[in-house]
Amino acid sequence: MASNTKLKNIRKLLKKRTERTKCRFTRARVYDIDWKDVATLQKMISQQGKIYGQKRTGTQSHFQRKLKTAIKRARFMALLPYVGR
Amino acid sequence: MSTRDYEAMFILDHTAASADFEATSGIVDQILEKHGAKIEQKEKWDERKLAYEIKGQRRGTYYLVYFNAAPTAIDAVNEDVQLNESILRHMVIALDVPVAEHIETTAKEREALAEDSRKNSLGGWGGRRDRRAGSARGAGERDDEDGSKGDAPRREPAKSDAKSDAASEPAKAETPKVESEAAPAAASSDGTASE
Repeated sequence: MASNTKLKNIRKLLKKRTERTKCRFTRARVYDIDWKDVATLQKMISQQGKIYGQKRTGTQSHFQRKLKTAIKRARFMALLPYVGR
Repeated sequence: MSTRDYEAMFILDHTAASADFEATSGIVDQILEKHGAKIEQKEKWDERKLAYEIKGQRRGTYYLVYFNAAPTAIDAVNEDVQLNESILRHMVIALDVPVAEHIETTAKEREALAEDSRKNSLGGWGGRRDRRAGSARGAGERDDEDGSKGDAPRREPAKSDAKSDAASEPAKAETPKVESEAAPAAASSDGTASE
């Protein structure tokens, strides 16, 4: 019983952490970032088309790596600009 | 021979595709089937302005195909697609999971991300703080907090200024006299010099 309540507490803590995190992908509990989801990718790049750093967006490193490939794929398919306006 | 699931996107020539989409997308299907690919799902994904010009075209029709094929066939498909004039660009991506599962999860995840951005649309940290405080207490409360924080430091300097003013008043009262004494002297000296 005691261990059961402990487990529950840990789960609660983890849930709180995922909800509070700055990383939008962690919050949404995404497994992979879709390169066709232009609306989301657009938020992660600047007007010039540069990818925002983790410091600015709070993206966790695991997702920053996925984001990088997603944006580069979207750029190749002319969904996002290589160099913006 | 083992096969894999693939996701492929093709940018079709906009003028050709808008005239007859079936025929243009049929070219893609033919190429895939020629090399033994089994098409699982196909759709006209979008018709949009390209982020940059490709082969002198500003608009393109996107055609999305999911298919199952042998990995050795992909090279041949790429070659054939590149030779075709009405396909501006294409990309083939190998999937780790079966097509149906992939489509389902990506749709869910896209919805989750959209939901998240809607929740946090207040911008920055405001959305998160509101959610923790409860929906009833919103931006108004946050403004109050900010206001009180802003006021407190403002008041303190004001008090200290008043004190320092009181202390410095005699000093100030003296200094103008000195200046006023010095000023005419300077003026007179200037005057004498100029005269």
